[in-house]
Amino acid sequence: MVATHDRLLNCLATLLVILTVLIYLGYLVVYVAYAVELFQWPFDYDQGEGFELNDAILYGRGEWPYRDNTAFPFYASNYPPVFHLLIVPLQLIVGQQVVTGRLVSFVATLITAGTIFLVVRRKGGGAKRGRLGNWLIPLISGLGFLASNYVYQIGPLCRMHMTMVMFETLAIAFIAEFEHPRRGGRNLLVGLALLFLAGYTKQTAVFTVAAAISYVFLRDMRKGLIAGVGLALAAGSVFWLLNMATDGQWWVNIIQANVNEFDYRQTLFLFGQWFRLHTLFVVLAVGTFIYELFWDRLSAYSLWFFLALGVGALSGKWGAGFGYFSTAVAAACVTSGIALGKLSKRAETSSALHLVPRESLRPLLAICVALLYLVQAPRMLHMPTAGPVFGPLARALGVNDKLVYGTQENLAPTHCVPVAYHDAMGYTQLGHFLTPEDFAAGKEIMSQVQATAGPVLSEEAMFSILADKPVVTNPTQLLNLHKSGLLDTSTLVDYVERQVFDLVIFRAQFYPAPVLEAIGQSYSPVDHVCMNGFTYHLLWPRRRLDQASMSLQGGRLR
Amino acid sequence: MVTKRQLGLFIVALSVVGTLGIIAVDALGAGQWGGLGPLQRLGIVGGVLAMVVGLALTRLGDRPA
Repeated sequence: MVATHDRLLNCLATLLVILTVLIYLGYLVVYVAYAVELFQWPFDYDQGEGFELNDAILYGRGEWPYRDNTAFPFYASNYPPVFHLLIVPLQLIVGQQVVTGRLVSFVATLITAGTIFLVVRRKGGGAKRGRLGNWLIPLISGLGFLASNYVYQIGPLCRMHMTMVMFETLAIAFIAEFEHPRRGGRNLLVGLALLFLAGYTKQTAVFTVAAAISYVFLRDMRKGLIAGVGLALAAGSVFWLLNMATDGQWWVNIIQANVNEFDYRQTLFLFGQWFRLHTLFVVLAVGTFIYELFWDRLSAYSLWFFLALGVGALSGKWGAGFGYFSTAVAAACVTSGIALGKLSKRAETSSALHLVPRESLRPLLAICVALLYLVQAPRMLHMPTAGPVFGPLARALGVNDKLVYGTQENLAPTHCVPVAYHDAMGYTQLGHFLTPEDFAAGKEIMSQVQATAGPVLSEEAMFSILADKPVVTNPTQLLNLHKSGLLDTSTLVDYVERQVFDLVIFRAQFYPAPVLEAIGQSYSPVDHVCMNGFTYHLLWPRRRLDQASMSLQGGRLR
Repeated sequence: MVTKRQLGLFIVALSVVGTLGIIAVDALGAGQWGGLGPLQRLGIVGGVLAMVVGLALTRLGDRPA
């Protein structure tokens, strides 16, 4: 009777564990499929990707991307250099293609997931073979990071967020071991170097820096002070050198241009969304932090999780978004995994649970852990809803008509066509796969770009890069500087009024108002192309229209 | 090594400075008291919560933080 009962428990535990692993591996399959889709897309998928590639192109030529925005080509980067420098070697092999940055970012997410797995295994794992903490919890912690809606959507983009998160995760992993009897010194130095790289990938890494230095200080005040001062001196020296080398444009573009309007409601909304999507990981991480704060010693990971919320608090800034929570996602995955591993280990050895027969305890724990992860899994649901595999699956899950832009009957106003993608987030501009119509539309826009002799003013950089033309303007950078009263648009307006640009390509029209007004007076729309769910507006200078004697066909939507 | 009491005192000090700073921004900024906006109210609630946490930590004495 008892043996039958144990066999049933073991059977149930095995089934639930297999189901859990399959579901999270399923998320990995969706992620890889999405990444492969993006690798084949030559244009900007997310506004800004082309500018990151352009920065790498400039570095490859030995030029700084931190420039005077008032002079042609009115372009400057607003991000530090590390991510762009990582792309440069790939460009030598692949050429000036946006896939280079996407590959770097994608690999960074895999490294981060792998690091989470190893850390959770080491810190939360059990010594005995077959313990949950040895493989299931570490595996799901790592896969859970890749299953996050946020990580999925921005992981394979040519953007620097995930590379920063990779450096942050690695840094914390090393800093957490700075008291190791033999390798402590090395771990601290490597950790500090990784923090330096994280900060010079994206500025928001400053919160992880604060967490790491605080952790060292809490454990060893002298080492904390030396580490903090040393890192500040190193980072500050490089900061100063960069500013000198770029005649002050480093400070203007990296710091001043990033001080934008703040909407606290956006922050509150995103916090709520982040919690709703990652509930299990967040609850466990918060619980761990509170427990360690009052009843144990603060670990590097829970301290990192707490301070990573500071990055989330900045998500109300104009231009920010859910990407600001990617650090908190990584921190939550690793902290929750360690917590769950320790809880499982404690449950196995707790005297209170000696009431439960040993043969039943392990499968019961496996069932509990698997059920927790199974409850979490659907909260992050995101998947294509079309195709031979995903179509039937989406119908079975009842999400085939719950599309991120809505259906044809209730399409979101900013989009020209529905996309076959469901995300538990609700509305999002990322994550959907591309269609043959998108590729055709891209070719159409490129043909217009290549038909011009001079520079093109394009809101997305890849059209110019692929046509071997200079990238003119980084629109959001100009808009931010203009809003802060730090940009003189007169030269750019003059270029527009003199109709220097043979073509203007708009999408979101994030330009300073004087520039938009000048374009409105000197250019006329000649075509509207629906690509990747967005309407791209192509405008010609009036002189070109006069020359071509072309009649507008009502700007018909293709 | 920092103790829980020291950490608690630090948190209390930080939250007092932060809370007073949030109030002072409006009071001293334009010379006119325009009331506390929603962000400031959130900040003050956060500051008070942090103060409570800090005070609780000070009761934990010399245990390592």
